[in-house]
Amino acid sequence: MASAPLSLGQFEQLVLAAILRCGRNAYGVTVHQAVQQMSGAKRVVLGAVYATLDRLEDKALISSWLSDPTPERGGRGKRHYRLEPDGERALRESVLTSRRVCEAVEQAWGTGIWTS
Amino acid sequence: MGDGYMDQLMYARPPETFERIVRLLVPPASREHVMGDLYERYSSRRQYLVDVLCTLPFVFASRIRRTSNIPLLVLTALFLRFAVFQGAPRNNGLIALIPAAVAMLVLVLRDVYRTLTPNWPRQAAIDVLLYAGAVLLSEAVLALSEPQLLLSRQQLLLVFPISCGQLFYLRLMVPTGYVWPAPTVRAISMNELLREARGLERNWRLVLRIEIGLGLSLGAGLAAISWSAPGSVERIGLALMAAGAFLLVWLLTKYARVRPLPPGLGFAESVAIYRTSLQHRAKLASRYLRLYVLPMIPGCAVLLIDGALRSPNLLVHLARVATASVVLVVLFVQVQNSSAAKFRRRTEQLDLVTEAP
Repeated sequence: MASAPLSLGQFEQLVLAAILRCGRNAYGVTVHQAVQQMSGAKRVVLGAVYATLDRLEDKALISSWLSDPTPERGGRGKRHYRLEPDGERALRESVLTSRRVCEAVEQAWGTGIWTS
Repeated sequence: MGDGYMDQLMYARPPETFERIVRLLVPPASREHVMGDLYERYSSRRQYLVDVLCTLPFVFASRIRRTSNIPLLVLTALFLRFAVFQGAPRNNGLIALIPAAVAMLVLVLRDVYRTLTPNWPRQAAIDVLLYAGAVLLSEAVLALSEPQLLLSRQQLLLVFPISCGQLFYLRLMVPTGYVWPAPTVRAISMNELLREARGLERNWRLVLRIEIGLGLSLGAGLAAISWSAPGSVERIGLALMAAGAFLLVWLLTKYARVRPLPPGLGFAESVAIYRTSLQHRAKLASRYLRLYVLPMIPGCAVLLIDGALRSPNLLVHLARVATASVVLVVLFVQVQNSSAAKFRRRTEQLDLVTEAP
C-alpha cells in the first residue's frame, strides 16, 4: 500500500516494539512483560495491552492467530501476534519522530540531560 | 525459597469456581486466549483476582468498541424511545426512557457476548428474545416498586410485540456483534469459507423475503386506505405511497436477488464468486437512499404538506417533520454505509486469503 504510515500513540508504539522484541513468541503474557520492562517503573495492566492489541489489529498493523491448546495454560491456546508490513512502517516512522524529538531536546538542553 | 515453593508455583492453578465465573464474564471471542493468559500468570488467588479485575474492563470496553454499530444503536434508541414506548397517557418522560435504556443496555451486551456462528436469523431471534425479556423484566420490577412508571396496557400488548418484529428485521438487516479481521494475509479452509458465504446468503435471502413481503403488504394496505380516504389530496398521497411500495418491491426483485455460491467449485473460484457477492451487497447498501427512500418520497411529501396545511402552526409543524425525516434518513444511510464498509473490508481481506489445509 502506498498510503502514509499511521501515526502511533506512545502506548501503541510500546506494544508494537514489544511484539518485535518477542518475535515468534509474541502473545498476551510475553507482550505484556516486554511492555512492562520497556515502560520502566510505570505499572502496565494486562487489559490495557489487550485493548491496544485489538486496536492495532483493527488498523491492520498486526495480525493474530490462535495456537493449539497447551496443558500449562489449562488446555487453552495462545493468541500469537505478528507485525504486518504497515505496522513495521508505522513503528519505524514513530521511532524516527522520537529520535528527532530527542535531538531537538539535546540541542536545547545538552546531552547531559539524560544523566541528571 | 525451597523446592516446595517451586512445586507449589509449578502446580498452582486458579480455583475452578474462580475460573467458572471468569469464563462467564469474558466475551466468547476473547475467552480462549484471555483465560489461558490469566491461567499462565496465576501465582496466588489474590494475584489472580487483581489480574481479572484489571483485565476484564479493558477486554469488555475493547469488545464494545469493536462490535457496536453506533449509527444502528442511535437509530434503535430513537426508535424505541420515540416510536415504541412513546405516547404514554401520563406526561412522564421516564415511562418511555426506562424500558428504552434497559433494551439498549441489553442489546449492547448482546453484541459483546454474541458467539461467532454465522447463523444470523437465529442470532437476530435471540436478540429479540433478550430485548423482550429485559423490557418485561424491567416492567415487572417497576410494577412492584414504581407502578406509576409502567407502560400502558395498549403499549405492552400492541406496540411492544410489533416492535419485536421491527427489531428482528433491523438486527437481521445489519448484523452486529462480529469483527471481520483487517486485510492481512490469512489462511482459511474451504469449509470455513463455504460456511461464511452460505450463512450470509441465507441471511440476505431472508431479509429480501421480509422486505418484499412488507413492501407488498404496505402497498396493498395503502392502496386500500387510499380508496376510502376522505380528502382528495390525502387519497393522492396514499396512492403515491402505495405505488412507491410496489416500485420498491420491483427494484428489490430486480437488483437485490441473491445469487448462491454454486457447489463443487475450487477454492479460488469460490473466493472470487463470494467476493463479487460481497461487492454487490456493498453497492446495494451504499445505494440505500436511491433504492429504499426515493420511491416513498413523493407520497410522503404530499401527505406531509397536506398535514402541515391543516395544522394551525404551519412552520413549527413543517420544521418538526423535516428535522425528524432528515435525522432518520441520515441515520439509515449511516447504518447502510457501515454495512457497506464491512462488506468492503471483507472483500479486501478475501484478496489476501490463502487456502488452509
